Amino acid sequence: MISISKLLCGQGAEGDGLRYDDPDADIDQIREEKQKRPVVVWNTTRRCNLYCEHCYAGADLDPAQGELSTAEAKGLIDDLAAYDVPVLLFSGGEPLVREDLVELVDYATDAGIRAVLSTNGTLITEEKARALRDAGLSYAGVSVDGLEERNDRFRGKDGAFDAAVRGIENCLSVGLKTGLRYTITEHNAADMEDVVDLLYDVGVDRFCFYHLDYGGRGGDIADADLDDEAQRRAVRRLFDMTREYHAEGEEIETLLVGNYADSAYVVEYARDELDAEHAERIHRYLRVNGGDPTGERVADVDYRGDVHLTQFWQGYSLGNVRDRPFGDIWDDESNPLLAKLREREEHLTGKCASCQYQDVCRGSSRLRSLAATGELFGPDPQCYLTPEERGAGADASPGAAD
Amino acid sequence: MDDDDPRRRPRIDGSRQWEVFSRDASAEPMRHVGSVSAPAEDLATEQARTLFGDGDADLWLAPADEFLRLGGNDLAAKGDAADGETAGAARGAENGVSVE
Ligand code: SF4
Repeated sequence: MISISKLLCGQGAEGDGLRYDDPDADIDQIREEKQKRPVVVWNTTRRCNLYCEHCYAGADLDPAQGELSTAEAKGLIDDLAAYDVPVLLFSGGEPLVREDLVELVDYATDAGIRAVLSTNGTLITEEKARALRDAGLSYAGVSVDGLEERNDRFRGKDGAFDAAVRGIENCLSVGLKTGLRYTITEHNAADMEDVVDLLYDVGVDRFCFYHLDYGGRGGDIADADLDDEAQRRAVRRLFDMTREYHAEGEEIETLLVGNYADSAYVVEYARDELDAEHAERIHRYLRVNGGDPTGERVADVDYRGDVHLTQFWQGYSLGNVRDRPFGDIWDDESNPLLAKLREREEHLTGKCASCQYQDVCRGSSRLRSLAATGELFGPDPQCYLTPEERGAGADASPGAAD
Repeated sequence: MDDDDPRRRPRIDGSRQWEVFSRDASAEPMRHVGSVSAPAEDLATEQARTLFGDGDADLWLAPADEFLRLGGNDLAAKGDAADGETAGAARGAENGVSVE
């Protein structure tokens, strides 16, 4: 997660400039010290009341066999607390179809874990929002993927957009911090700005943009991913828009997730649009943030207890929390895949191997490389950096080092 | 809801889960290295090879639903034991995680 608003607009009057220790941060917010334990995404259920094209969990309406019971979920939370997991992201499917959601949020926060929610928003009544707030929920991220028409088509349900906005309003009305989750694809890139404008008026001030990863149903629509030029344009527009808002005194928070070539690009952007010193300061902070978090700073536990390297990589599981406590699975580097991912710099090939931004990107998504080329340590197909930006030399033709 | 309703389609790609075991040398025991999900055996094999098959590693795959598992981590017992206790806050304090 790269906090664009902090990197580009967070420089205060104080000499130390950027601050990343925001107590309101959710998933792997940029910190000055490397985070030691992973943020855990928990797919509480596979059930969902919507059917979105890009859903990595492949959710549907039927109850799935093997979903963790309430007692098991509490046992899992105990294990996570014992392992010092800092944040638990209740996700799905749609977590609000679980009737024990409030109880489990309450249990997690009692155990000292920060609870955050990822939801389609359509089931959040004011009463539910209040109950979640009272249970200690810190933040709700509501998915909207375009203006009304596009969003509803994407989500497989008419009225989903209005219902999501109502859910957001219900959260905000009870004082629950709420933000947007927006997965950028070819279909909805054009709506991005209008959605921000519209939701800012509703009262949302945190906007989180996800690049498409190629897991679950997202894998089927890899073709709908933006091409290099369009990625670049969308990310640049987000940089510009963030600065425009801040210039008007509107302190919106914007974040990018899922493509760590963005880390490189924000440094390049700062060098062009701000100054070299600011760019270097951003670079320094991003080095500490550590690039793609797969298998290190983020983990996923699915509805039946399988542990995954990220929430998008559902096709491979390290093990199951019904067999071993989460911490034992996560610490077991006798698993050669886990061990290699944690020292991926030594294994990256192609353009990532020699990229000057490898320290802030770390080759970005291994899952996309795997899905697109069948190679675990090949280049991320979503990287839009030019050879010059990668430091491949002025005479390198585009793609020559790929 | 009729049969054509997209929500009725098989989940993900109708995948089956395969437990994967590997070893680098014949003197070593086979080691469980996780599981892959794939709609068919050949795809599961290909995935396992991509993730673990470099070098001369031996790989064994077996359908996860054919395993009989005894023992393990009894989450329900842990959850039930904690229920009704006031252990929550104490745990939070113990592990040093601050609650905002
Ligand atoms: S070339 Fe690889 S390491 Fe460099 S920015 Fe692109 S994805 Fe990241």
